[in-house]
Amino acid sequence: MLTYAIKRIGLAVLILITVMLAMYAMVFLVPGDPASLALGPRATPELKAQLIARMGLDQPVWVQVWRFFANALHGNLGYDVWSRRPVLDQILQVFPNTLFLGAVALGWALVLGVALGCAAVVWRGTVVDAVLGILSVSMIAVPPFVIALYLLLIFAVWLGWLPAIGAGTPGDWASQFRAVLLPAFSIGITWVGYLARLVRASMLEVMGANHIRTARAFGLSELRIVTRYALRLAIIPTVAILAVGFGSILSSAVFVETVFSRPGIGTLVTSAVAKRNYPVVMGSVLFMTAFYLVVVTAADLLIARLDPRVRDVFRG
Amino acid sequence: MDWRTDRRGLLRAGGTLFAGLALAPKFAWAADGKTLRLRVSSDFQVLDPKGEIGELDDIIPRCCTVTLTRLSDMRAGNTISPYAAKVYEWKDLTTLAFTLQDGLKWTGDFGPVTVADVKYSFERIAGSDSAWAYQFEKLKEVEVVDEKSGLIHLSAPFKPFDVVAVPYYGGHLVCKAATEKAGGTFTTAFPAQCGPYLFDTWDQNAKITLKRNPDWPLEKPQWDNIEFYIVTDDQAALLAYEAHSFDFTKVAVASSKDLKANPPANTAMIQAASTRYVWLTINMNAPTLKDLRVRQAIQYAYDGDSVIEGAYDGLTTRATGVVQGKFARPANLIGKRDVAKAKALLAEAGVKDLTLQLYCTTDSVAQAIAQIIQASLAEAGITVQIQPTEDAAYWALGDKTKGDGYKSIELVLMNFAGGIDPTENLVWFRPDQIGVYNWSFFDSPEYEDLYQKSLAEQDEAKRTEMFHHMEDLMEQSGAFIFICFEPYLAIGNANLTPVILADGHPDPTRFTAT
Repeated sequence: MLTYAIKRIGLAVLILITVMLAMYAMVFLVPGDPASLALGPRATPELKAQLIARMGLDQPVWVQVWRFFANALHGNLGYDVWSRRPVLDQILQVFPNTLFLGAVALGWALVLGVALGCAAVVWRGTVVDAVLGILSVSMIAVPPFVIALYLLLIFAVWLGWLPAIGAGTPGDWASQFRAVLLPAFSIGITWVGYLARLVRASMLEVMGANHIRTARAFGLSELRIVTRYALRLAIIPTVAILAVGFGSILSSAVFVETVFSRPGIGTLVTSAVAKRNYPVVMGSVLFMTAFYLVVVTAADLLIARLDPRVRDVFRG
Repeated sequence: MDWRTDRRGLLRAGGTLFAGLALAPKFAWAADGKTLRLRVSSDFQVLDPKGEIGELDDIIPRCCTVTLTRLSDMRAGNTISPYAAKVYEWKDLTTLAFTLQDGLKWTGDFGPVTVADVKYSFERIAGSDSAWAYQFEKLKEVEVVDEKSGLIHLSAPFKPFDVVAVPYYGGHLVCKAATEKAGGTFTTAFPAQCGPYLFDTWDQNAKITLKRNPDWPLEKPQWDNIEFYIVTDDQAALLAYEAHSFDFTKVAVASSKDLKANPPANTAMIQAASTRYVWLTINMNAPTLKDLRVRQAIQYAYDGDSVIEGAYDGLTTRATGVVQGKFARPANLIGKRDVAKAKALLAEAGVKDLTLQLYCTTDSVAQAIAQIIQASLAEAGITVQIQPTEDAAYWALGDKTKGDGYKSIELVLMNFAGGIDPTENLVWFRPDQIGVYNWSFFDSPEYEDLYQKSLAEQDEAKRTEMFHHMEDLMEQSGAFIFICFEPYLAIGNANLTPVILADGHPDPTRFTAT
């Protein structure tokens, strides 16, 4: 298990370094002058030079990369080139909003997705199964931003029930919960479809197992068999995919936060990209990638602990 | 209960559900009458006037600090009136006298606003690396007569000082003692404030709240609180406005038709010409465009009316130069499209199968203009290849520090935020701007001479004549096609009377409601 853990964590670090190198490459491959763009036509050459220096773009690439990682290891993700505020402070200020959004989105997707998957198995081969199949695939197929816009139109503009923008009042849980509903629904809906299909497929496999046949022989109801005995086994692949799902949901947060003007890491990154605020872009990407890798690695280690076959495969 | 899942039952249940939803009581989101809620497109970065960038960076200081004078609404002609100065008058061509209002004081026990603060505020920007240093280029010094009275001395007569330097941006006063205590500069927190409002809360990338300054000695503004909501996307902002999330927002030009046809309830639309000017650069130095007749052929072939209709929905008119308002040139020298003339000029120049590269940014309006130019020039036999270019690469096109590419670019669709005084817009076409922002290679000593004279000239009629002649020179060079001043479009609560300054951003302290 220790060997597996070391290899898995090493892989995560390698991925992190690759992502950041790719980010640096993109900064250098994009043609043009970020200082002129950011400062506008009235900027003096001295001011442009200062900004370039503040972004660290006057240094050779390898120096920039080395400094970035060395500082990051000390918890310093750099400073906003405009406000001079520490990038980490900015991230920590908005990240709880993104995390809350991701958790609510994945939470409701999990509850509904598993329920729909179970229902499809209970009524397999019937009209209900067919309808749920169509519904699940539709949820996967419809782009979340379309859902987001329609939800905004219906629940914020037309009905006026929920706020159209923002993350609610800080410290007011009720207002924050109301503000998270529409964006969480928008990005969670795709995962409802995925999870429903996944639960249905894995549960159908489990339904053929000996202990399920035994349960049937004892005369237990189909609903009881599905929820009490089959689901326990069928849920394992779902748990494995949840970590990936969480990463995907965090990525989706970028556009949903823009549509709902919700402060979060997505809006932080998009506004930083628009203003060529490279330290904020780099710091945010590093933070998000690291967070995602921690979640995925933790999930992998958990699965490996639960299922020795995974460790064996990795050991070769 | 007999539950049936037939078609009728489903329709009945759906109908009942949606009727219920529609009739249900709505939550109140509208303003309470004491809070003004405005939408802005991005969060602020730097509140220090020396380093501020734009929009909220300047709107917040409009509320939390003061300027000696202030501008009227852009629709009222951008006139200036005294604000923190109760007396503001020119003593001679280079001396401006002012006396501060009584009772203005800084927060944080930094005492009253004094002339020493004015001196510090202006002189720290003049000659510095600030983007606003040009506003104070002619500032010699601010002389302190006493705590409330001072004299601003200029190094040479500079007519635009009134509107360029004093009423906004670099003209905002900072507290000398507090700023020095903060290290000489500040970013996201004022070291001291003195305006009608005080900075209250900041929810990063979401919302900023200002509250009324209880110690404000001048006319009380209408609102107890001002809230700024940050919504980047115009379309999202429109939806949020319809959901009563705020009372006022700028909207995209593309929304105008829909808004006019189907305006949100209790909403007024504001439509005006902004100071942002758009033109087509024709590089005189490009090998394909060195012949004046070829450049003129482009000017004749250009279909200005189609651009205004196709790209701007007819919300603006063809520009006659880069200067607007009372200083605007009456007409273009080539006022009417003449494709036959364009063809004749090309034939006279011996040019056949001319293909030109047109660079533009990637936004939809620029794309629409480029396509119309492409179609109109095609009628004269000129092939235009459109090169949509990402912003950073776009701004490097004419930059001489980025290689020799600036010498041979052919056509570029350009768009600058303009100022109030004509010299603020005309400055970019001076010879020393070649390879900086003069991408046409327009190199006219006469233009430069007129520019310098216009800075010092005090007589408005003479200045107007100079500006007209400068724009004649630009057009005669064949290096420019003046397209338009972009329309400004905003919507707001019908009971609201907004005040919009020349930069297109609001002055919330003067918003009123009936």
